Amino acid sequence: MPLQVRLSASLRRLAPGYDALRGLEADWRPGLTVAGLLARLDIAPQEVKIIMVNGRSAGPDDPLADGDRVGLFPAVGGG
Amino acid sequence: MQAWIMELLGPYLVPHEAPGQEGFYAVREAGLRELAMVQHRPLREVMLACLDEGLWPERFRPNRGTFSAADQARLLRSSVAVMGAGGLGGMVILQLARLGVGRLIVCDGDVFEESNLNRQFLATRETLGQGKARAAALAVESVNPVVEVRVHGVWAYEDNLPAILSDAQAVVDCLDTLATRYIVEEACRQAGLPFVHGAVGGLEGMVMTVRNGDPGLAGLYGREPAPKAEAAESFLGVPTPTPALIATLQVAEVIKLLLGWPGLGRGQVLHVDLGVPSIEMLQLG
Repeated sequence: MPLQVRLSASLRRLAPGYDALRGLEADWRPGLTVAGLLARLDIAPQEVKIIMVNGRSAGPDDPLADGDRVGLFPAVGGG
Repeated sequence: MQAWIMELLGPYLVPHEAPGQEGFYAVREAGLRELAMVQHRPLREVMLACLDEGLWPERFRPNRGTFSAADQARLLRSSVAVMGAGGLGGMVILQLARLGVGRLIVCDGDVFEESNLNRQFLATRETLGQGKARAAALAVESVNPVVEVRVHGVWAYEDNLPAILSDAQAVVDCLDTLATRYIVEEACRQAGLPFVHGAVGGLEGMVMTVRNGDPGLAGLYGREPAPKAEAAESFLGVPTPTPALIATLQVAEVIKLLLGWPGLGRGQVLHVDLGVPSIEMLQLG
């Protein structure tokens, strides 16, 4: 099962044509980490302030499992 | 309640039906004002005395059912600091005033400008150029004069925060820069105060309640606040509907804190995306 990747807010500008309803799908392979996924999506790691895997916070070096839901968020500070 | 008081309030009582329960009366503010004048007591104290007897002031009556009279009295005896009186803060302040939170501490060093009109409910053609904290106090006065507002028309920083936050039972983070949010969160940690964070960028927003020992902003964004230029709102702005919704969620968290009801738990973050639309719970740590 592919990874389900959701980009939040301003990160969507880094994925032209991003569909907020569907998100992105990415192929999983054993040993893939969040950082590896970011590299494949061509998203600079410093753009991403929050990483959520299946709704729980994760780090860039955490490995991903087949079918994981990955949420990537920028800093949000407006009021 | 003493018979003479009921006699005085009699003309001001409004009968109400309650499905499946006995009907009840609520009392109009004009009657409460008359009682306050006769007793030489502040209107707020008269309202509290009525609520303590189970008699609802008509202005709070639609809260009945969700809140008990004792809950409403507890809100009226509560004190909440709202940091920032802009897009989030204006809405939070107006809601807390209507809710009947008895004391509001409002801190904002800014003045209203034209670009605030798209989303900041206290920004009007009349308030342009005026201090936001002072304008908030005037707006509260016109909505609910029993709410006492302490105005701090200054920017929050490490040195003035202990004095600003003294007497507060909860602090609502309605600021617009992450750096100041981190400073206020730290001041809350030191004072042992719950900190209700809300932030918006584009059609998305986050809400989190931080108590002592919780991961808080560092758990969400990292140890250092991101510069404003990197935050989502620098790219997407803050369009009209988002702050009002996030402010509503913050107010709901404040109510639960004040009444001792369970709210967002340790490390839980509500993420709202009005574009999809979706609302999801994220878990830190």
